[in-house]
Amino acid sequence: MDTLVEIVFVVLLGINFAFAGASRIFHCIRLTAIQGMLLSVLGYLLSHGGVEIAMLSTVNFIVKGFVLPLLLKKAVLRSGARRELEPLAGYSISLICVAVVTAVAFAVCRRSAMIPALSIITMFTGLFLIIFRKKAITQVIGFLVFENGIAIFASGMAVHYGLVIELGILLDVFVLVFIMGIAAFQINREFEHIDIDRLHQLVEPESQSEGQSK
Amino acid sequence: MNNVFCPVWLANFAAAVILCPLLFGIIAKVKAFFAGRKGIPLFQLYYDIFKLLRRGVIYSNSVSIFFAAAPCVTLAATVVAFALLPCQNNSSYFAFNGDILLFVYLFALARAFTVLAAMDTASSFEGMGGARELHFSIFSECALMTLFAVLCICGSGEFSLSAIFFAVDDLARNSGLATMALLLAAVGFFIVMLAENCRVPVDDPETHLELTMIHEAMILDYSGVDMAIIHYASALKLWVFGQFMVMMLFPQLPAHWVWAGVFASAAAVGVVESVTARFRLLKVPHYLMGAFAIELAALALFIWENL
Repeated sequence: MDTLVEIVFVVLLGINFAFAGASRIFHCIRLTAIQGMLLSVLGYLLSHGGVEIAMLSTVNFIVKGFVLPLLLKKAVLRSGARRELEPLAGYSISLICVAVVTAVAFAVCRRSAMIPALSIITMFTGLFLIIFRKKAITQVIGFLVFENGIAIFASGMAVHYGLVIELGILLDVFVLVFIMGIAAFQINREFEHIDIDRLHQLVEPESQSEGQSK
Repeated sequence: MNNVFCPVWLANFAAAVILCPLLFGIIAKVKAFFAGRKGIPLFQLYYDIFKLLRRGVIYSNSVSIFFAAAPCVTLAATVVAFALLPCQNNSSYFAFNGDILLFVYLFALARAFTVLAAMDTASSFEGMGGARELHFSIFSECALMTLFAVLCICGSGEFSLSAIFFAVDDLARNSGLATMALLLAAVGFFIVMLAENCRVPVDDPETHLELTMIHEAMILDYSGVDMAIIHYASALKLWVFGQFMVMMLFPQLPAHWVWAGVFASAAAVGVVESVTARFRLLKVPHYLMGAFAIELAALALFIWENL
């Protein structure tokens, strides 16, 4: 059991680097799917069983591993965005940043707390994706990664609020991704792009035609 | 460290020297399998080498002694580097404290001579290949040195490859997390291995006279025996890297399983070549920086483990 936890731990750690280095949107989405699946497995492994936990992990596995990535994929396809990520910080710099944060997190958390360290790194990667990638879709992905980081923390600390609340959190994330996907689609339809650094040109509804011409 | 002469190590050395051209055959077979073809014979590189050995050598009028020396230096450096690797419990006969640095620099020496020889021909094409080789080697050596820092730490201050692999074995038995860190380091090493051996995501050994090639561009002017030596040296280099990776993960493996592991790593290279396309040249540094970042993470895990 312990070895299994460690394998999942290392793969989750490696996924953060893959996020920093990934240059394609679909690649990123696939990574969120893998991360979600491993996350639910990790949650189950750390909790020492129980029917309720098993059910929750299964739901988590399905929603984070299949449903959310499918929604994201649909949003990308509908918005017709270019498949490249157009980073603000280059891939090499992103990788080094994640590596430095990894070192700092390990140094701060010490060996008794390997899951919190992983959670810090994952949350940082999520924030990094939100800040340093241009596409609106990447912000959704960054948000998902950030949320996964929090979930890793919760499973590491064995924090269980009970079935209803955890399902509620999952529903929240689901709805958020759903709405953000639609928002990205709408933004794209209005402005013919989903680059967030051009959204400062957003104007009041009466001059919408001006926005459309941009 | 007492250097005891032992038959297993010698057998391993002999096996590598004899079997290493087989690795390219395995890679070609795996690629052919993925492509649904029959592929070239498993022993093709042997045939090629024998064919080339029977041919004469032609030198351009403008080249100097460097050009003729480079293949021999490359082969010699690779053989010496391989002689530093231990095998199954037995430390290398030539092991000494600090040979881990020699291991890296022997490959650097081989690279330097290959590049110098390429520039010696005054062919702009070969100069371009040399420039690329040096450019990418900066990044791959960065990752390689970080990996060696990881190994030195887990070898608790030893700087000899043989001693390090013993320590790795102890560590792997005692701590699961260290095993995982080693696994992470091995992933980074595999990426470096692909780059150092000029395999697909970085360089395509099958392309001749294409604008994106690296290693093949540097050896365009070689013929006959020199070409045979270069082919053989690159096969042996692949074996060295494969065995290094196997030793890193399973230090106590019996010799014949190590050989199986090396063949498996060659097959893995073949699979990677079949399922990925070569990167654009501009993306190669990112790719190697990825390996560097992974090694840094492994280093952090190890330091953290030892706190």
